[in-house]
Amino acid sequence: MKLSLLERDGSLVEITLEGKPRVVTVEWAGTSAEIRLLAEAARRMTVLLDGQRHAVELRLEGTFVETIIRGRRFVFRRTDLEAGQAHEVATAADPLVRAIVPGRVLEIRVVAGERVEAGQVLAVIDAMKMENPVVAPMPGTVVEIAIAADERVSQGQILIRLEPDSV
Amino acid sequence: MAGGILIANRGEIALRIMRTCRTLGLRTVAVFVEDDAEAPHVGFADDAVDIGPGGYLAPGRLIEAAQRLDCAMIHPGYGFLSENAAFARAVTQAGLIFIGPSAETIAAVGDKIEARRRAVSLGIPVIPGCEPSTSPEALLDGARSLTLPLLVKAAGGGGGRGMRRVTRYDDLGQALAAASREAESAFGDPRVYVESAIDGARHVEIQIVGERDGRVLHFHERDCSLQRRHQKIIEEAPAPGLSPHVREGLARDAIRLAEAVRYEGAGSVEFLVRDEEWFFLEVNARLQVEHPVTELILGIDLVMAQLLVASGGRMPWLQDDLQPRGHAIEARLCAEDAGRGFVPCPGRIERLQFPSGPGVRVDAGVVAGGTVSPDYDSMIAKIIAYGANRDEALARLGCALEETVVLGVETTGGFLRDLLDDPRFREGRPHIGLAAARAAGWTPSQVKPQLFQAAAAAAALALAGERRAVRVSVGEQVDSPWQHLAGWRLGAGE
Repeated sequence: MKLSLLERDGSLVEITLEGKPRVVTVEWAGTSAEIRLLAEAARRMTVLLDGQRHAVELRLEGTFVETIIRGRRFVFRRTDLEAGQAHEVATAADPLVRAIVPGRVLEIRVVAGERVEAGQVLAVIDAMKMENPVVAPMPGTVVEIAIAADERVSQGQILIRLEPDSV
Repeated sequence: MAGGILIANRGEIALRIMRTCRTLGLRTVAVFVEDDAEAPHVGFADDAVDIGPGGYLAPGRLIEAAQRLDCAMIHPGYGFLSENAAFARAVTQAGLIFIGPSAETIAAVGDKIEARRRAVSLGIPVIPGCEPSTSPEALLDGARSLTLPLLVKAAGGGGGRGMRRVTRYDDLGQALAAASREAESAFGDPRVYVESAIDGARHVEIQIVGERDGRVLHFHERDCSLQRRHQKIIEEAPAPGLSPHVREGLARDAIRLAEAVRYEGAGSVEFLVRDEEWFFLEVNARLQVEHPVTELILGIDLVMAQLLVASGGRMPWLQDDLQPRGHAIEARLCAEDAGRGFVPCPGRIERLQFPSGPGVRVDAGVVAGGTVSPDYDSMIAKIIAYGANRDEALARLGCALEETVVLGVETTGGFLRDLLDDPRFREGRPHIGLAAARAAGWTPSQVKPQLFQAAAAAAALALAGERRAVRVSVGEQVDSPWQHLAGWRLGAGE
C-alpha cells in the first residue's frame, strides 16, 4: 500500500507500507528510510529508525495528521486520494488571498483594478496586538476586495481576489 | 495583610502571582471577561469576578471589584495596566495597595524619554537618538543627524509594540506612521522617537526592587539577547561571559538610576552591551515575564518581595546576601508559526503535556481543551530550566522542550529547541540579531530530517488504520483544513 503525504512546509513524502503494516519505507527529497513500528497506542506510536526509538504523539482529523516528535510538530495531509491535486497545492499560488491569521482588518492598501507585484502588501491584519501583512502571492490585478477596514476576519477567509498576470 | 488581593490580569502571570499569595495565606480574587470564564486563572482563584467586556483595561471596574470583594491590594501583573501611572494612583487613592512600582515611580521611568534624560544627567551612557514627538516633520528632521540603521520606538510602552527598524531614510516616514498607530492602540500614547540601532549588541537587564525608605537592591542581571521583532524568546541568568567591569558597571548604573528616582517596587533596568561598552535603554516598571530565571539563581520569590515592599516593609536581605548560584534559562513557548514569519496561531489546544524533572519549572496559563485567543498575547507557557552551570541548564531545557506536547495549535517549541543548538548561543555569545537570523528559512524537517521521516511514517500508519474515516471526510468537506487544523495554509506565498 502506498500513501502520499504533504507536510505544511511543502515537503512531499511517498510512503510504502509492507504487507503487515509494521514496516514502512519513507521516500522524501531523494532519501529513503525504513522505519519499524514498535508499539502503538490510541494516540501515540513508537517507531524505530536507524536503531533509535522515537515516540510520536498523533492526532487524526480527516485526511490530516498532526504529529509531535521530540518537541517538533509536523502536520501532514494525505494527498493520494485527491486525484493528483497535491502538486498543484504545493506549487501553484492561490489567486484567492486568504487570511493566514484571525484578527481585525487594520488597513487595506489597494483598490479594485490596481496592478500589484508579488510580495506587495495588500492589507494589514491586527492579531494579538501585532500587525500582520497580507501579501500578494503573485503579480496580477486586484479584481475584488472582499473585506472592509475594521472588519473581523477568520483564518482562511477570502480577503482579496486577484487576476494573475497571464504568462 | 488583611483581606484579599485582586489580580488584574490573566494567563500564566495571574497564576504565578496567586501561587505566592496562597503560600502567604492571602485570599486571591481573579477577574475575567466572558471568553475567559473557563480560563485556568479563574478556576485557581479563591474568588472570581466577571469584569465585563474589556475589563482587564478598565481601572474603575477593577477598583470597584476589589472593594466589593474586600481586597486590600491589587496586583497588575505585566502588560495591561501594569505600567499605567493613573491606574496606580487611582488604586492608592481608593485606599488600596498597588503591588507594583508607585505611581510616582511609573511616571518617572515609564516615559522612556524622561528616563533617558535622567540617565544622561547621571552620566549613564545612552544610545544616540532624537526627542519624541507626534510630528513626523520634527522626527524626520531630528533623525537626519543619526547614523543608519534606525529604530523607531514608542515613547509610552515597551515589548516591541510600536517599534520599527529602518535601514533607509526614505522608509522612515511610513515607519513613523505605522509605529505611532501601533503605539496608540497598544499604550494609548502615539508619541514615538528615533534612535540609532546598535547592531551586534547583547540585551542585558538588571533586576531591581526598591523599598519605600529609599533602599534599592539589585538582583543581578539577565541576558535576553535572543529576541525576534524585539519580543524576547529565550532569557537567562546570569549573563554568560560578561567581564567583571561590565557586570559591576551595569548593576552600579541601575542602582544609581533607581536611587535617583526613588524607585519603589520591582522593575528592570535594560541595557545594550557591546564588548566593554553599555548603553541604557529603558526601565520596565513591572514584574517581567522573564523574572523566574532570577528567582532560580537566587533562590528567592520576587512576587513575595513585591508584596513586602508595596506594604511599606523591608526585604529580608542585604545586598551581599544575594549571591547567584547556578544558571537558569527560560524559553517562551508561543502559539506562533516559526516557519511562517511567526504569525500568531490562535485556536483550541487539543492535547497538552508539560515537561518535568530535576531543575524544570513550567509557568503556564493554558489547559488542554482551552483556547489561545487572538485577542491577547500568544504565549502558552514559559519552560524554565535550572542547572549547576550553564551546560546543565541548557541540557535540561533542551530535554524539557522535547518532552513538551502541544497539539491543536502550532507553537514555537521546535524552533526554540533548535535555537538552543546554535553554536554561538552554546558558546555563550548571543546577540540581538541571532534569533532572527536562525528563524530565516527555518523548517523543522530540514533541521531534523530523521525526526521528520519518523513522524511521516507514524502519520502514514495512523492513516492506514483509519481508512474508513478518511473516505468519509474526503467526500464531505473541502474546507475542513481551515476549520479544523490551525496553522495549515494552502499555497503559502511567503
